[in-house]
Amino acid sequence: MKVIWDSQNQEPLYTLDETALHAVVRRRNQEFQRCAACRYAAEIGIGLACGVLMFVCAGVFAFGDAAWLATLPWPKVAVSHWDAVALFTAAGIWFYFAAYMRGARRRQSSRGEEFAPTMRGDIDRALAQVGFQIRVAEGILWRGFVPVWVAAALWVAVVFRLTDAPAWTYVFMASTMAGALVTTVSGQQRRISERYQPHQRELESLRRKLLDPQP
Amino acid sequence: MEKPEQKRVFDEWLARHKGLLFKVVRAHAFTPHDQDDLFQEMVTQVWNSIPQFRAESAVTTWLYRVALNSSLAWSRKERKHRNRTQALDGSETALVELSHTQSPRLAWLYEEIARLDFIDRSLALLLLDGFSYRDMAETLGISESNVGVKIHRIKAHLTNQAKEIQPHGL
Repeated sequence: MKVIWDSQNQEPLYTLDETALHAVVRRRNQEFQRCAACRYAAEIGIGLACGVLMFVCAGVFAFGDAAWLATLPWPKVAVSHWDAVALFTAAGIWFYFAAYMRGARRRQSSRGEEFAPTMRGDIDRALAQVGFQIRVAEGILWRGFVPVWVAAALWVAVVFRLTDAPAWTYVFMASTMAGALVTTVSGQQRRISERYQPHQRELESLRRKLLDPQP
Repeated sequence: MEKPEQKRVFDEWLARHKGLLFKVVRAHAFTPHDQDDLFQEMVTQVWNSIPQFRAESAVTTWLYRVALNSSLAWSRKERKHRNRTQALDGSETALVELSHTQSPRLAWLYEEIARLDFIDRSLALLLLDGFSYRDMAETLGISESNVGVKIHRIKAHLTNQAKEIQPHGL
């Protein structure tokens, strides 16, 4: 078998287009870096943008001139300090969400630096990373989705109150947002059970196989 | 590490050891498109691994480990996306197969290796390329005695398969 195997050293199975190869390496690295950076940047950016928007609105409501606020076309009822409090709370939640995602990104980047440079080390690293992804995906429900949902609900409630929206729109919006939350949560649960956990099981099985000395 | 130095090392490793990468590709991917895709994945990981290389092991041991891990990641990704994606755009095909050089006996051997599970397949490649038990243990991160047990099983399996297939003249 060794003779058969070594025969390919004399007659190579493939040849290389080196220019194309260098282009491929550059392209793949750029794609990977871009995708990872974009995903986190989008989540952090959304958190910051919403936070700033709500903070500015809250600031205007809290410290703006009452006479000037009365001249604005869309508030149909007087702005109260509770509107400002609600928006400051919502802004805080969005800033917290951005910080949470930034922290998750940093923790994920540093994950797995301590593993040995072996295949077992790589499998352990992959297991640590997928375990981290599962924990983030499970934690993001209470630490990410629900707070953001509360922030969005506060924003919507303030806007509806100031525009003097009829009662049924509150009910409609509340049920729509509840539906959105349920859909997001079930999607996240599906991602955990159909994507992360099978990947984790596969890695664990590989690890067991690697360490199994029994015939 | 500076980019020009990284590129120099990359070119040198590829010039000297591309045969090793070809073998791993051939054992894990079975169509020209998949082979090209896996090879691209592999060289990308080789490029990324260069700054981490500390010369504590031989270059070939390091490259085998990078190649096997790339294959593992690629196999997982490929299984997941197989039914959902089309072939790559084909604008950059780095790997060109020389099919006329394929001997039937070598094809048979690759076929048998491909039937093994991932860990045994990795060990079979390392074994056939003459790596010591110590190198295999170092690459895979398991004990030498564990390697020995697994190698014994793989040898027995391949020998049995060879006996069953007489026309290959093994």
